Amino acid sequence: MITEEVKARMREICARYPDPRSGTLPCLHLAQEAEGYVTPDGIAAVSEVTGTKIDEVESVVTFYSMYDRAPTGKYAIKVCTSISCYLRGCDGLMEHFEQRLGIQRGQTTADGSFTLQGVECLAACGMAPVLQVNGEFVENVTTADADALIERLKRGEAVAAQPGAWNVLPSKTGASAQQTAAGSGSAQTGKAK
Amino acid sequence: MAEQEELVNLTIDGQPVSVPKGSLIWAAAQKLGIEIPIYCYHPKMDPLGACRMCFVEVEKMPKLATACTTTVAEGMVVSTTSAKVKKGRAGTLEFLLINHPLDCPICDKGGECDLQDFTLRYGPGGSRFDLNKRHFEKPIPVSENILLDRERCIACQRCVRFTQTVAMENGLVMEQRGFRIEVGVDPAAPFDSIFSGNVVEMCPVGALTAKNYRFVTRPWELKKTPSVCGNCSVGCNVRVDVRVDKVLRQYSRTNDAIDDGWLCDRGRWDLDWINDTERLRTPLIRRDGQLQPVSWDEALRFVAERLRAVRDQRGARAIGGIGSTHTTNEEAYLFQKLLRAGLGTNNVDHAHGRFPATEPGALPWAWSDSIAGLEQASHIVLLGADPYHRQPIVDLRIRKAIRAGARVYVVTPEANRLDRLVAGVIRYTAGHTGTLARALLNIITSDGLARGEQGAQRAADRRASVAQETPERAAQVAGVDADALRELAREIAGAKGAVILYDEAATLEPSGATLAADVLDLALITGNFGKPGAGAGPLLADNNSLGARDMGLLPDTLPGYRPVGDAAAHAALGGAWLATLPAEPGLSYTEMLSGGVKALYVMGANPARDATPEQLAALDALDFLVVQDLTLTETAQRATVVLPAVAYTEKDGSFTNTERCVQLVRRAMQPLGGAKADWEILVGVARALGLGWTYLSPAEILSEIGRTVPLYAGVTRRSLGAEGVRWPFAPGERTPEGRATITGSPSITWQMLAEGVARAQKPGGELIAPRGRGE
Repeated sequence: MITEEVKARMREICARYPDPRSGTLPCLHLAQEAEGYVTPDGIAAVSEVTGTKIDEVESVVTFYSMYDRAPTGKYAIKVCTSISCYLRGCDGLMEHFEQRLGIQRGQTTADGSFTLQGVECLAACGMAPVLQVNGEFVENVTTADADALIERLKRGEAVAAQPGAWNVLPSKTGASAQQTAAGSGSAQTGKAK
Repeated sequence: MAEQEELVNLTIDGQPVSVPKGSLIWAAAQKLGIEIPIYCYHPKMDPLGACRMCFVEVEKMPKLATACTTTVAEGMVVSTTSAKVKKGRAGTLEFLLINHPLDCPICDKGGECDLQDFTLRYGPGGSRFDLNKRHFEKPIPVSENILLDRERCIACQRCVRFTQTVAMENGLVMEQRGFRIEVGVDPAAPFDSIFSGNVVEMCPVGALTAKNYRFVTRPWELKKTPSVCGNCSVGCNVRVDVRVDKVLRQYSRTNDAIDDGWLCDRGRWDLDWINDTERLRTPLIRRDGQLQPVSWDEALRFVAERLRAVRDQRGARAIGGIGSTHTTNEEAYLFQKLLRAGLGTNNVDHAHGRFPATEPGALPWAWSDSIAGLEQASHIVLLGADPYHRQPIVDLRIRKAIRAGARVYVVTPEANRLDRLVAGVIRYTAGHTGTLARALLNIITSDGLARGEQGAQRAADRRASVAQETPERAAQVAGVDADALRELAREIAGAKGAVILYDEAATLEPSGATLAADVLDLALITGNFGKPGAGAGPLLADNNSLGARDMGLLPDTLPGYRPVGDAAAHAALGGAWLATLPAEPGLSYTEMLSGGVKALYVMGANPARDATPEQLAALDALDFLVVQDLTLTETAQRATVVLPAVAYTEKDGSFTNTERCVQLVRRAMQPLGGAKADWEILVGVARALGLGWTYLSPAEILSEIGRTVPLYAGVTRRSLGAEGVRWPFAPGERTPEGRATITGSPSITWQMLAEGVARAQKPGGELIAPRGRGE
């Protein structure tokens, strides 16, 4: 359910633009925030507020990988798979996460704590490979960093020591690139239960 | 065109060409007959530049340019054949084919596929891609009629742009992105548009296919004939695609002035009635209470005998004829000629709307402007009209007008598909369209909203007649919002150009007797008349509704709307037909169906379907009922004689659409064995009656119409050309071979209105006298 209060905030956003449809993206973020993911209800609300047709909003939602179409776990780990991160070994990183969490990309762990997703460019190519946890960036991620990250999250700690900043994990070394690239050798073995 | 368009000169492949400023390189090449391959671009939609197929090399530009997004510039030098272009196109095709199956022999599009054709012409000979191709569940339905094979899609987005920007309906959208991009539908917004079939026609590959056509034939087995759709009164230009003895589909044969290159799903696919296995293949005569097969000779002799007997015993007035809004002009003309000249009665009519009697010589009731004119309108008012369901391609043109900024008012009893797109919606109790029209006239005449001298004069003439018809009264009897009517009246009176359209069916409502006249006055008084983008008129029901009226399928007028009592018309037509014509007006459709006649000749109509119990009883009580039709209709089941006729795809002829455009229909297939075209049957009956008719073809009949019907003066198959001409006609320039031509009138002007049919009677001062025997 999108409450009237959320809709009022959406209208406020749309009022900032000459054409209300320009508010489609921020409104969708609001809808996702309100319900945890973008539901058909959320799409209908955005369609109503922006004066666009439902199918057009649907098209936008599918285009951007930041919008979730299904409930996510407590922590949504979004690993960038676009070109810079790919060259810096995101495949190995992703496989490491899959093994470590015992799930495939796109899935959520049975206890509901982690969702693992591959997403399009997160606009941090200079610090590739990068990932986001519930919207917070983690950069230059090595497989060791990944393990440390999961441990932190399992303990209920923040993503990084300084939340909200560009999160550079303490274990950063110059060798990290080789380390992550080396991790990409174990293709298709991530089915560990 | 008052102002000269600014031209830009450029060279393409060494050939100089001049095109209007702002043209695309693609259009300039088109003008020279140079093919530039395209997928995403479509001439009727804005450029997108997504497919990268239309690469050309432009001198002094560092990289290849896309011809569909680059506008021409003075002195530009373009090459479509350079080595760089060839490499670019081959590269694009190699990329497209990475994800596309190479299974043309089993693809439904094979043979008419742009990807297949362009790969042969511009593509690489082979592929360097040796991995597995993508596979999807296939096919998936995207609508009731259309299936999608996603692996064939090249993501050109033509279909998506059509549904979103042209049809402005819920429909197809692009989902996901990058290599995952695919066409899809949102279940919350089903693709149920009546314009959906256009996406199948414009799909450049075999991704979108029609459920009722796919895997039924191969394109090269089709016989393709340019013709006109025989469905509603819009008269969209089509290509009829026939395989052996079945019509499989109609594709658009773009006529910018009528259909703008689109077709509705009814026109495209509703052709089963032509392929119906229940079609009649032999004449039937009722014997011992049963309809039994007989030969054509026997049937025609029998019809003539019985008609003659009824005439001899009870007089010509005991015979009547009900014609059709579906048959060609030629057949409607022959039908009333048979009744009037052959049998001596004016009892001839068809099912039609109510149009008030006009002064002799006045301009007939018809839409005074054109479909294309809608684009120039500042206001469009739909009074009791639902073009989306009844004249779909007019609705599509209204959507185009909305995009151009037109304010549209939908004034209908029921919800209308246009509601969510328009400036205003007014609802009222069904049956009161006429009440609303008169209330609008009341507001305009009493609030002094008339414009121009002629408008003020007309307002003064009408004021008293609508004095009682206040918007408050309309609110009371029709449940309409009086203030909304006032606002609408002010909008119409202040419009730069308003087009006011009503449905023919609204004239049949209890309040609709004077609707046609009231709406015309509304336009005349408010100065919305006589120019493109302004005017008034009916949206008629069927493909030849107007032609049936033009051809005199009416009890009180001869062809061309000349009164049956008009001595001059009588003499002229009687002379041409070598007959003495009855001067008394005949019985109307309902009078003939209420026991007014003893013998009834029905051509292509089915009065029993909508008849009251009394009318059914009267039909059963007839001495003689002859029916010409394709199948054993409700009326034919009651007939004494049934004569099997053919559909419009099986004969030549002409139709006149709702905006006065006379267009040629061409035979697209062999007539069903045993059945005959209505005109052939009529000639047969006439000959059996001893009338000596010698028509050998519809062309001959049309030429006679061109000589004897003033409104159609000069019409021949040749003069109508490929895209038809709108009446009133004027003589055009002679062709180099010295052949006469005619030009049409997109809009009816004040002068034409004042001079009426007289203008058409004497084009260029030259009297049209009947030539030859003309019988």
